[in-house]
Amino acid sequence: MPSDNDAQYPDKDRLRNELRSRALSHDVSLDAFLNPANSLSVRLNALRAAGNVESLAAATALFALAQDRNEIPDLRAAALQRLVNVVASNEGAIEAVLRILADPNEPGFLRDAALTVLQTCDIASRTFSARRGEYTQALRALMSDRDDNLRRRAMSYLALKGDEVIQAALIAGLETPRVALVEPELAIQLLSYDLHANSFPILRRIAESPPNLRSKKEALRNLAADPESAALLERVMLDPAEDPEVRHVSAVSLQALDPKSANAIAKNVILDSREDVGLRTALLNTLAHSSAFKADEDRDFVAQLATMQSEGASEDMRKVYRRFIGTNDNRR
Amino acid sequence: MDFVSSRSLYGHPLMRVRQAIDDATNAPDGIQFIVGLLNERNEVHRDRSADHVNRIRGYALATFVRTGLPSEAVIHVLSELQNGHHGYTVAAAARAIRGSEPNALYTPYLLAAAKRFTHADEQYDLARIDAHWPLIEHTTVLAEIFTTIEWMGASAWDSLSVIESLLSSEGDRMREPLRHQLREIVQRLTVDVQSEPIPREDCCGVMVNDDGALNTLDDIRLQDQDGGWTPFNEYVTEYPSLIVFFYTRCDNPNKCSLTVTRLAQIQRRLIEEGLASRCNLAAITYDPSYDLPHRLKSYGTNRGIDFSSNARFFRTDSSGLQSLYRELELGVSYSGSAVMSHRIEAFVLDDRGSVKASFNRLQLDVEEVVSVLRSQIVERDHLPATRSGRAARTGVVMAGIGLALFPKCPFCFAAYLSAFGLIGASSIKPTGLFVPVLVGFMGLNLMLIWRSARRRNYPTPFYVGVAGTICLTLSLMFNETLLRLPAVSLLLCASAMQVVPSNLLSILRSRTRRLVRKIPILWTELRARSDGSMRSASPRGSRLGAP
Repeated sequence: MPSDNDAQYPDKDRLRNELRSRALSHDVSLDAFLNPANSLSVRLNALRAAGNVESLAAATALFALAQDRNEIPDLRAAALQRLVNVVASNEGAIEAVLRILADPNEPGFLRDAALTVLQTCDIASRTFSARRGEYTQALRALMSDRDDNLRRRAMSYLALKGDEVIQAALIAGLETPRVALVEPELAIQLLSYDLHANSFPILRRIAESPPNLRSKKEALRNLAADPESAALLERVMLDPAEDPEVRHVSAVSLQALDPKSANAIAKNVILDSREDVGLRTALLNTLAHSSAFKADEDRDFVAQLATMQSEGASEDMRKVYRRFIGTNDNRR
Repeated sequence: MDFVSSRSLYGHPLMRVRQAIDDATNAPDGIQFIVGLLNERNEVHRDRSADHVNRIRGYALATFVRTGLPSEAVIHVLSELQNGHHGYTVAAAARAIRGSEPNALYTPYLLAAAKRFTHADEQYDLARIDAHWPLIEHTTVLAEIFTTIEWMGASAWDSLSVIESLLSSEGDRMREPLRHQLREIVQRLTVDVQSEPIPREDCCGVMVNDDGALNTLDDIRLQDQDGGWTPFNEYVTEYPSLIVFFYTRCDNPNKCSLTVTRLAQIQRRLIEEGLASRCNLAAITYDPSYDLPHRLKSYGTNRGIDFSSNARFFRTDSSGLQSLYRELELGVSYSGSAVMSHRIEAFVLDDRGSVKASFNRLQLDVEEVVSVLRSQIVERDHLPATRSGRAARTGVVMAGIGLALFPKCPFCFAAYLSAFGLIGASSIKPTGLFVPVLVGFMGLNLMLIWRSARRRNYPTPFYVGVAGTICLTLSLMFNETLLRLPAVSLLLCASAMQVVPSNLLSILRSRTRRLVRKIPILWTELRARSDGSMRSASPRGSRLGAP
């Protein structure tokens, strides 16, 4: 007698067969991966084809392979990454992966895979909460690791967490370059994640006396959150001797702090034909998106801009001008 | 090393501060010095990062397990447990309790902290003031909390069900030793069944002040979320006020964000009780350079604040903030102009601007705050405290007026009929002094409406009044009688509008705004429905209007 279930799922048999064949294919793929007689590429492809690892037996086998120092590192890394769901729900597995990460004798890309698995667990796993403290300590240990990729990844994760140790190290590095862990522009980016890291004083110093142009730009970009830097940003924006990109970065930062002042300066620069064309174009674009600028209230400027366009302007400037007019028409 | 004052510790490295705290534990006034370090206003915190402020406060708190927990420090302990989000300080607060006597008061706070930190139980060395790596000795927030609950013994009994619930809902996030510790606690408390309630010594109710009027603050000007400027004294007088402090870049969800959300809840309660028009609500930012009006507005709106003439968010300039900081003893520390650390704080002022109550450090209790405000409103207005009492009083007054005006004899009837022009009263022709007197009264009327409009930040009655005045003036100049009725109507409307209670105004305004916002949505829905009904009437796949 046909059941309601049959009516709801008319393709039940087909689906059941498909699931069975996929499970079979999964098992076959896993077997192929675990078979040492197969070549490396065959084994890696097999693991990709196997999909998610769900069964305890498969997870155990893969985990044993991942921890086996005698195994090929590529296979170990691949197995580890496939086990992220299993690791996320097992404290012992988390501990084992932490050991791999902390071991400087393990290959870099294996430790990199371990870090990826742990970082995924940090975001998505309840069980991971029990080991979060150890994970933080492991990341801090990586700050001085010889593997550059691991070091940078660890520092960025710590910075995102607002970790005190990394913040102190980054600020120390900016104040005393010989103890710096990373280049200053990266250090500034990492510090910008936490407003309360009290980095504004050092950023202002760097903006005034930068070790390089990139760090100056980063410092000015991040001073958008520092009202005490409004005067500095204005000064940089107005300085024709400054690099145009630096001036534009200052303009964008000043928009956050004092949009009226930023717009007033921007308008003068835009209309000044002696100024750099790229800068003028960029500032016009910034003005177009500024909520503090209303074309209706500044018809003089719009008229002068139109005159400037008609007297010849670069193609980029004309494109931005059309967008500017369009944006302001929409605002009316 | 000699015991030093906090003033001389400004700018010194953390290790120097630690040494001072350690020295203070053996000094005669040392405990007072350590308690002083818990206050965000302390000079030692100026120009330090938030982490360093928390480290200093946490190290000071942890000291109390050795020296004993002084009563003045209890509020700091509870505040950290309830609201803190720096694990070092919260762990230290949990440890500090073990320097006092077990008290059932602490358990709910400890459990609140435990719930907050189950997903973020980092490792800390409370024996060190600085954050360093690697850690030799360490503890965690949960470890300190559970150790303290264990230490509390039977005093934790009345929180048994909460502890059990924590174990069942969050146990999977904890390490096995912590789970085991919690199970042991539950088992012990289950065995030690208490037949009587555990005494709970309370510590930290509302602080009732009588601090005198804030009369040195007449130079402070406040800018609100719409960009309008108001003198501070003008806003906080005439009616009782509730002022809270916050800033939009606060990263602790249990402080500023929650405070403003509670303020919105308080506002709703006041509206329900019909008291919203009889008090002022204000939220002032600690960070005026960054918290520009549009940021104030979106922050408040997103947390349920219904802005009105007497419910506003403010920023002031740096000298204004310094004055408020000084007069209200605000608990906030800065590095430059950036806020690094602050407490929860709210103040109730009476209608003369005197601080009558303050709520510090612990999350605002809506009932408690409304109760204090209500008492100030009642005191000011000599109103009955309850709504039914007020209704009864209004009824009595109206009945009295009605009785007085009720016509009681034929002469009364004649007088009423005459007043309404039904027995021959003709239109008045303007002659002699009539016009100048009329102009004088119109000017006086407009001036009074303007003053009221300014105070309530609601200019519409003034505009209506001006329109009425213009109509009346034109009707007199050109002897145009058709304009007199609209003129009088407009003037009556203007007068009526300025006496409508602010809360009713704000309700009408917000409902009108909501209705206006809904119109396009309703229109779209209506069109969609009619399109849908027309489509369903047509054969599938056909195009309307197709030949």
